[in-house]
Amino acid sequence: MTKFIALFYGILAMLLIAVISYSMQKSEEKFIPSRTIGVVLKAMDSEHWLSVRSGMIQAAQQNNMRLIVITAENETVFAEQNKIISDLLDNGIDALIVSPTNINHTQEFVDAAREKNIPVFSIDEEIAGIAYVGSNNYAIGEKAAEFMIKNLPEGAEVSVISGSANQNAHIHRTLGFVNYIEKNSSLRIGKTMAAETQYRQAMTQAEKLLRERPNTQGIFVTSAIMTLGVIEVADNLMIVGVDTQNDAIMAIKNGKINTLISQDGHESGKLAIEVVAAHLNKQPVEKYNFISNELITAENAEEFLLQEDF
Amino acid sequence: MKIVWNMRLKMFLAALVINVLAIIFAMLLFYHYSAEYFYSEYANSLYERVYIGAKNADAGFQKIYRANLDISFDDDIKTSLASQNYPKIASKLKTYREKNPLADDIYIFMPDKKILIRSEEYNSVQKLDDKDSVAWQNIIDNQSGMRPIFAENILNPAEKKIFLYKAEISGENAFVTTQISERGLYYNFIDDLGSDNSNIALMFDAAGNIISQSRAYSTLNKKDFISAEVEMPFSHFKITLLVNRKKIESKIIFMQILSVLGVIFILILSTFLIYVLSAKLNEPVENLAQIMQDVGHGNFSLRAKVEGNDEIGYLAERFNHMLDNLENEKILKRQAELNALQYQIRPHFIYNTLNSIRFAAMIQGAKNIGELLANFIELLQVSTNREGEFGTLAEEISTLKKYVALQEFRLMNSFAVDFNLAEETLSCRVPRLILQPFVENSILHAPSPEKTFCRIIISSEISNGKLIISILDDGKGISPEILENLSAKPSDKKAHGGFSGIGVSNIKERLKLYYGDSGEVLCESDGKTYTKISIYLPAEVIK
Repeated sequence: MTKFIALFYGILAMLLIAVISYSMQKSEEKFIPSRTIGVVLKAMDSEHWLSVRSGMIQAAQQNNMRLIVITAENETVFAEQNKIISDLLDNGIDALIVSPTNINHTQEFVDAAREKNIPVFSIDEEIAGIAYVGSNNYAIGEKAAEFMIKNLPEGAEVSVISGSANQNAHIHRTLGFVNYIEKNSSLRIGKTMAAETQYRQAMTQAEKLLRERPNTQGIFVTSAIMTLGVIEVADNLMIVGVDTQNDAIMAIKNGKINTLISQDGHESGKLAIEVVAAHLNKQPVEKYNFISNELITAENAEEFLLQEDF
Repeated sequence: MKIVWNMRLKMFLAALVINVLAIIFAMLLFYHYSAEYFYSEYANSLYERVYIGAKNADAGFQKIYRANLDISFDDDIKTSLASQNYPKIASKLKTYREKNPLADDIYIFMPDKKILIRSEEYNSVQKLDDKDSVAWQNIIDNQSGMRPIFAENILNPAEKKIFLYKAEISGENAFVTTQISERGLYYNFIDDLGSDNSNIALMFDAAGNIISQSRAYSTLNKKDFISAEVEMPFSHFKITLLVNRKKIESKIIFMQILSVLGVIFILILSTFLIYVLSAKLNEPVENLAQIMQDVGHGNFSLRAKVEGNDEIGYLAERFNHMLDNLENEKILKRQAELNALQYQIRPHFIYNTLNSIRFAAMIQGAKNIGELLANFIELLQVSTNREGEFGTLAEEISTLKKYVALQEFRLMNSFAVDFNLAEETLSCRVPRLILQPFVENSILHAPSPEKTFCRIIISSEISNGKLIISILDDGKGISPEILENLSAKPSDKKAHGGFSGIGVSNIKERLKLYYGDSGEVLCESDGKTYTKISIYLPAEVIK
């Protein structure tokens, strides 16, 4: 009999819970991402930056963040970029990710952000005193050098066509390459040239280089878009480039470029957002956050081609 | 109709009650969660819709902001401004406007010169009057950065509502402004959301003012609507979509009806199943009950069907076992009755034989023997008489006299019995053969070598409503040790040569049984010259 009474009360309690839970129906509210990350990139005119943005958008969705992604017209207009950054800092963002077009004009917005207590992160381009996300550019240069040493006869002459001298990435890549060659091999550095990180400029620089130093056997080009320009004029040379982008990888498959050091934009975009999320969640963040850089050759080109979202 | 509360009904009802509760509970839960799920899914899809609209609108704002900034950094425009080549600037603005379809028009305003260059074909370079110049300056002063302002375009004859971005051309004291018409934005991004008549789409600025809407909002009761709101991170405007609750409530009602129908259907189905099940479960119990009823009516040959290894099976089996036992006992009882009849026959045979002997003695002239036999037969009859444990004192005395006569024949001249009986005691009720053991004791044990002849006096009287019968002999008496032994309980008694005492204690027990404490036997003796037994009984006169 006591069992029946217990059962009865049990059922009663269950009904009560049901009724209570029914009456406490939740209001239809959806969680709205509460953090806004401002992102200012160098440009949107290359595949690399498109994939950086894609990686960022994906990671931001996973971390419940909103993104404002703005780019300057091209990589040269630092004044416009700085204006955009200052407007962005006024627009209630929680963190700023910048890939500055000119490393000599970053202090202004870094100070402004510090004043507004907005954390700043740099992607692909190092800014002094700011957490960095992207490739280890010095190591990229070394990797390129290693490949050249392995594949060129002793005493061969190699040159560098570098991107903007106002950008740390290109400077470090060149430095890494040159230092490695000089320290570890009998190869000679012919000439290191810098140009705007653009297709056309790279082409004219390459023409100039081949005119001035006809014995050149290998060229290290510090960006993929420039590499594509260089191969227009340089035939039968050892060409090493940087970046993971499909047009350049296709050129590897066609034998026009010997190798590319990978720099997966998607990966660095994703990593950047994760680093920002960690910082906003009060977790410690490293000063340098490197993505992996690998050699892309004709053998594994297909693999890297598939990695892209396009 | 009278409801019979049998097991089947009780079980059925109990199962039904639990079932109904469980089903209602489950359905309530199901309905609750499905409704909640439905609501949240609906809200999600609503949010998703607004989110996409807001994202596009925000992208539109961002594009205009960028275009406006680009113009302010345009080197061609800068040099043309310096050389005051305004028509060239106007055509440049026109190409910019063509690149940005969302832009309504683009102005470059030089406040100190009060010159306005527009992206229009007609009248593209204007000299503003003081009033317009100041007013326009006031309007564009409010805007900076990425948040557009919502204003009225006073420079346009139609005075339409616009969103505006401003950028300064550095070093020239000239301001580029790009205007987006409110209607243009609305039809590009918001109209889609509010396309249904029951939906309302609104855009608010950061301060919460309505800046664009599908229809009049203020007249509506907010409670009638479900809302989804998305804040745009770039422009800090908000887009809200209101959907009339009625629209989804009809779906909820449909779901309610569906759940109720589900409950009813499951109830009917389960009721049927429970009924069948309880009938099936109760079948053995009902069978057993029926068998028990029939057996109760005297049909002992029936046996219950033993089904299953459960309690009911066990009950049926034990019941059958009990019936078997009952039947055995009946047979034994009949046997006993037969035996008893046989035992009754035997004494008759004995009496008849003894009577024949007696008559033979009489015929042969041995009258003495005949009388003795007559006495003996009568005594036998009394001692084996089964009818009635009680008789009158007179009957008891008459029996006693026959016994005495027989003993006198056995033990010549060793005793004499005198009777001293009160008349009123003779019709009193006494247990049969109550005096004989005491008299026997006196006859057998009173005489001693010193005194071979004893006198026994049997007397009776009624005193204080008690019948007192006493047996007094003048024999050797009883030693105090034996006397003490006599008054002890029968079970404590030791066997004793000569005087067993069993007869005496038997009498005591019988009296105790018949009368409780009001019947007793007292023994007195000095151990030398007399023994007196007194029997106290309630005096009951038989009418």
